[in-house]
Amino acid sequence: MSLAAKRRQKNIALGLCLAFLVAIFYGLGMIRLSHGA
Amino acid sequence: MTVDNFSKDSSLSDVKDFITLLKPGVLLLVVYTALVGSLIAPGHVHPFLAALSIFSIALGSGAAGAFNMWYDRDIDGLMARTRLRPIPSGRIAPSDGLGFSAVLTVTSIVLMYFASNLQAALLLVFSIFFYDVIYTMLLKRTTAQNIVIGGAAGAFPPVIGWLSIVPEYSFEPLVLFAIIFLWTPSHFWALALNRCQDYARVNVPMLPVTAGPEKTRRAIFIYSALLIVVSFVPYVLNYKGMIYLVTAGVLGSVYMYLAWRVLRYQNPKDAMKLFSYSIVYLFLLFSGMLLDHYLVK
Repeated sequence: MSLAAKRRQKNIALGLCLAFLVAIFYGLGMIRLSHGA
Repeated sequence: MTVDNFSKDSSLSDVKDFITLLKPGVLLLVVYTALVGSLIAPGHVHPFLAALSIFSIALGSGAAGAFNMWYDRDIDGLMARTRLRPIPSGRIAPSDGLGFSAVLTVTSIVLMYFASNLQAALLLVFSIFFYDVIYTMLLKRTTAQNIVIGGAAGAFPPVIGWLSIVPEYSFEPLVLFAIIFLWTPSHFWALALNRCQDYARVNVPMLPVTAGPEKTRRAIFIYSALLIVVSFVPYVLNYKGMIYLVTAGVLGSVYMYLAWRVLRYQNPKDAMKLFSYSIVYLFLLFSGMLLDHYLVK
């Protein structure tokens, strides 16, 4: 795998991780709000 | 090898290298034991929050694994088993490995706190601290009891899983702790018996190096016996029923047979058999616990 391809792969993975984290905290917030906890 | 010999950037790495830093094999056992701890705890939380708590434990375990690989990069590069790890082989820069670990550590703790409660988050903090500082930095290179005491770090996950559901300490999760705590020495020494020269070369005082293979075999047998005795405590204290008793009995008998073979014969293959079996043992013992919990219910 070329260095450019590796960089692209890592950027995509990082983007997905951040999106996943945002989704998690969104879900957390919604549950906390709806349960009043 | 000095710190200066390591790669300065991580351009050679790919995503797989960062996954390797998490120690996926260890992570799997940690997640499974934590999952069992949370599933058998007498409480109920929103399934999404329960899943997030387990995910937090996985992140924390990965963070600790990455920290360990960062700190041990000097000796890892000199041992056959570990020299191809991402940092000593130059694919990931040490600073990137440490940064990766730090980000995961903070994320896991914050997530655990918001997904469950303060008690679970605090124990997660303590277990990461225990593995990073007490085991990796203080014990591993100084005492032959390194993995006996350090084994506590790997024994916390089911307790954290339990606390994430029921935020107060009770005796049952402590029994799960004791099982993994007593499992670790025989599991690890069985492996170390065959890696003796590796550890001696880098001055890590693993028991086979400091006390010799004969005493290590005896210690493996003694710890195996202690483990098997403690594995029956959940039945004796009426936490679990017949299904667990039979599971623990059958699995324990095989464990003792293999430990006896390690003691009786000096065949390296026996030690590797015990090492491999010990992993299966823990998975199946906790599965037996789970099965008993649901079927008896």
